[in-house]
Amino acid sequence: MWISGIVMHGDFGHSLFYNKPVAEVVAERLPRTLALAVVCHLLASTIGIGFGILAATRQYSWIDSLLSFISFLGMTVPRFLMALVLVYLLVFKFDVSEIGNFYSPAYGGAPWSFGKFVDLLQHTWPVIAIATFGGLAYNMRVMRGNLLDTLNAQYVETAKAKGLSRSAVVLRHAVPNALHPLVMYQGVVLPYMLSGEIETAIIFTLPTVGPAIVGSMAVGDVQVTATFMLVLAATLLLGNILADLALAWLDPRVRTRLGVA
Amino acid sequence: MNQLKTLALLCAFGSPLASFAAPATTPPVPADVPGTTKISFVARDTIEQYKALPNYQEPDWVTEQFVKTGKLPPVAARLPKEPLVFKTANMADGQGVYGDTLRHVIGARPEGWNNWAGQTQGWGGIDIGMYECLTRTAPLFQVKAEDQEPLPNLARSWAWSADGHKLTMKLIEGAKWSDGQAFGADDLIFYWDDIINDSKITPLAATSKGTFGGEGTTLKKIDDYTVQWTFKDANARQYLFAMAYPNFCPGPAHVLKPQHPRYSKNTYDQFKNAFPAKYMNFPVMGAWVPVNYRPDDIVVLRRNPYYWKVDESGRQLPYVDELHYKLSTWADRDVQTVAGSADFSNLEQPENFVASLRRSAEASAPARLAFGGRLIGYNLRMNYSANGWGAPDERGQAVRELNRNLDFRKAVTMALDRRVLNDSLVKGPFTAVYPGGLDSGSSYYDRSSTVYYPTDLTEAKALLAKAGLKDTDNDGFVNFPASMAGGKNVEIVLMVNSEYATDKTLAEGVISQLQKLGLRVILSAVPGNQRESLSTDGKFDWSLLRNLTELGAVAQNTEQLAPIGPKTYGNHRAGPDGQVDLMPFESELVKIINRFILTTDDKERVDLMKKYQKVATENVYTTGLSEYAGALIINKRFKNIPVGTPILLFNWAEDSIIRERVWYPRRSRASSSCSRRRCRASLGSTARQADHRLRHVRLPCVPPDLRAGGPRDPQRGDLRHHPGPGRRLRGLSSQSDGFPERSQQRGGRRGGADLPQGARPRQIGARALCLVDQRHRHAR
Repeated sequence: MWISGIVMHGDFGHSLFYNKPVAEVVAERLPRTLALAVVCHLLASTIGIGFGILAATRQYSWIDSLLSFISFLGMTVPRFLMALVLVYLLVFKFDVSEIGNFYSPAYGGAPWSFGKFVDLLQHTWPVIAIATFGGLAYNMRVMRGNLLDTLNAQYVETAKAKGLSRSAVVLRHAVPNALHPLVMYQGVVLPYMLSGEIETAIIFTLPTVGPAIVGSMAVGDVQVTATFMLVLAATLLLGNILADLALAWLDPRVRTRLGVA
Repeated sequence: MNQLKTLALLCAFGSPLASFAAPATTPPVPADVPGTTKISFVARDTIEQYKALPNYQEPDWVTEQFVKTGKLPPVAARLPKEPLVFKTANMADGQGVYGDTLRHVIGARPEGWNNWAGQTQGWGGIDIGMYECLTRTAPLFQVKAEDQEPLPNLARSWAWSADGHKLTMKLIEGAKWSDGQAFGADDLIFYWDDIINDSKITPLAATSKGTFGGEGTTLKKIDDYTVQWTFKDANARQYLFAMAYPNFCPGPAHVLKPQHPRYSKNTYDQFKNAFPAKYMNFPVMGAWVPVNYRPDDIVVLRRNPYYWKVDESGRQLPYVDELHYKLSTWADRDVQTVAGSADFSNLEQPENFVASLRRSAEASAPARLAFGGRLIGYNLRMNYSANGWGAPDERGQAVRELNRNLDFRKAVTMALDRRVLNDSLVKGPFTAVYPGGLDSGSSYYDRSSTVYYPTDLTEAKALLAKAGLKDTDNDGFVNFPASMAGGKNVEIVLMVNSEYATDKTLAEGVISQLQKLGLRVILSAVPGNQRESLSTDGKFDWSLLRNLTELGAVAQNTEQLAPIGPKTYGNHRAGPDGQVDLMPFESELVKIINRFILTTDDKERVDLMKKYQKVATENVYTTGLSEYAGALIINKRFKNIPVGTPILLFNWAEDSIIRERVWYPRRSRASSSCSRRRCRASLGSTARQADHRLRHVRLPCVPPDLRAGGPRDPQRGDLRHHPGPGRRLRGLSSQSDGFPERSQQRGGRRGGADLPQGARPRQIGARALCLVDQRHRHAR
């Protein structure tokens, strides 16, 4: 009945906790969550890849060890712990008074302005920082590993022999080939982006998708939970399609194999 | 069934014998709580009075932007003939100035504004600030014990008839709802006839006819400002307490009646949902009106231009222009108040005591902390109805029979180690060993009348065996007798509010301690609304509940102390036959409470409470778990906070501090009517906290569907407020927000800029002033 409701009427059901249609609950939270997640993900990816390139090109140096250490910390320290420590430090040590939620009341309903953007950053920087710190580890490790392999390949030697500068060799020849697993990873990471910041979002009371899933499960608000699960499944499919397309764009071998020029 | 009855009889006869075996004593004396503030008691009539004053005042920007432009009548015309005047002598810091924002944080979410059909507005004092009641009892914490009669509020005076059965009440004359409509007896009669006496509607406070005496109580209208109550019992002073929050706070009949199923084609469900959370400017009698709502973010309320209370200089209250309710979690409320991003918290979760104390002790802390007496208690409440309330299954029925067995209850209370339970919440002097019954901070508490069965696991196990429970399958849990529930393990479901960490911590402690006794207790953590409805329906074995006002204030909600009516007591209500199956000692408790309600002799009331305490604790009527003191955390910048306000006595501190009198001494007093830029410069930093910092001159308006000619469709918003063709959306939305300064900037359009085309205002007060955030009126 619920599925036929979705397919035929676009009706995702009624939320008992919020006392309004589930579609509204999802529509409120999805854009914010995606925006936050995309920012976190881009930062984690670029910083992670950057660290990976640095570490691979300076293998076994102190930079490599330091970056590995940072990435291990990010991978192993639980995010809720980082969030709680950050809240404590901000409130009790640094006297930060505006904490929690996306905006302070003064800006919440106001039209967009520079001041509102600054306010948004002030409220969300802890979440972005924690997510980036946790996410860059994987990117860094994978990038470093792949780049080390690629740097040992024959075509890289050829490029060096041709007299190209070191940065051109690394960035234009080695890195694009080392990126493939990370591009595939983008597809899988999309649903994680939606629900992945549950712990941090709960502690910083950001009304995003993660807390809504957990909250609705705790309360037994079945239709909200089911709808969000559906959304996650859909984004997983979508993410994989996008990743495949990206890979085809990146790697000419995939295009040729597919029969596309 | 026969075997159950036999067992029940055995239990009833067995209990006097059992009391000889268990050693009873009084609870240990707890340590003093540091930093407790002392209340200075006053006489009741020193707080407020009703009188006409020679002239009245209002904030300058209201005069400039609304009265002079014709959007509102002058303040004297908006106030009633004789407004309620708060006496300056009772104000801790004297009369105040206008301005500022009071910021609350709450953990619940508003379902809608229809409190009378059972919707919650989110708790935390939001409905206290919006819905005014007939009488007011919260400020009685500062009133001398012998003077404790409720304060007048919407009912300005009352008189008992000679025979004591009739109570004639005079209402305040000439007061108006926040949309300009007159308030009068019709609102009370609608509430009485169509809410309380409509069996299909349950208000949020579960008020029923039984709250006011049951059958035989009537309410009738004498004239527009006079009503007359008739009670079965003579001089029933207690019902005046029942007419305070939350039981008699009437809603706007002119808005509710057209949606009521008796007067429209609505179903009861449609009536309940007729005013969803995004319906703004719901007419209220309170000091603030909800004007903005962002889901999971905030509810913003602005001053009610028709508020009927003033100070002795004639200044229309409230002093504070804006009220914020940030939607977060209850634990976050303490964090934010201590941090300074919120202004008020009832520190009732002991997990946060130590950190909050430490922070507030620093000189740079934005908030101050004040502990009160030990008035927060937690009890285990057992479902005593064995005659069908809640339609239990075989296991459930067997548990109820056990609940009614004194040996079983004594076993449970003796198996609990209350010192361990207390320490699991917070270590230190805050907590006390609480066996049940009245809170030790109550003025009616008498330690020598309190019976405490000390922790003794061996004795508890012996008592269980006496009650007929043995571990027949040697799995560590005792079993029912073979004839009950198939001789299976005794499994009891413990219902707990999942929204509070304290409740869950105590529940886990109870479960692990009773496991040692051999009882299998299963946790059922449900959110607040669900817990309420399960509780009302009787669908629980045990319920873990924080004490409400009756065990502290006693005079408030006294009817909650014993099952005096078929549907009044929380864990013992009537079965399908309409009768409550009272246990013998319960009948005694009912007699005591009924006498307490009717007597006017204060000495007798004290003696009656001593007797109540003895009978209740001797029979373990409620199993006490923990008791501790709460603290009020309030931002240092506010004035007129009464010294020693408890966080919960007659009502929560949000009511007791009388928020409409609270004020903030702004740095510059010269912020009279001014352009936006000058105002911003002269106001202190707190102005930045107001919602929409750039729009600080706003007032609630009449909801569009209540204006003449508006279509009625709050779900989809008022379509006639959409801009007509050819107008830029952005340009019109600022005008239809009704900001006078903006409309003046755009060429001097005044007044009617915000009315839909073709609509005619009913009266000058009904013209839209506002602040309705158009985006939230559009359907998503």
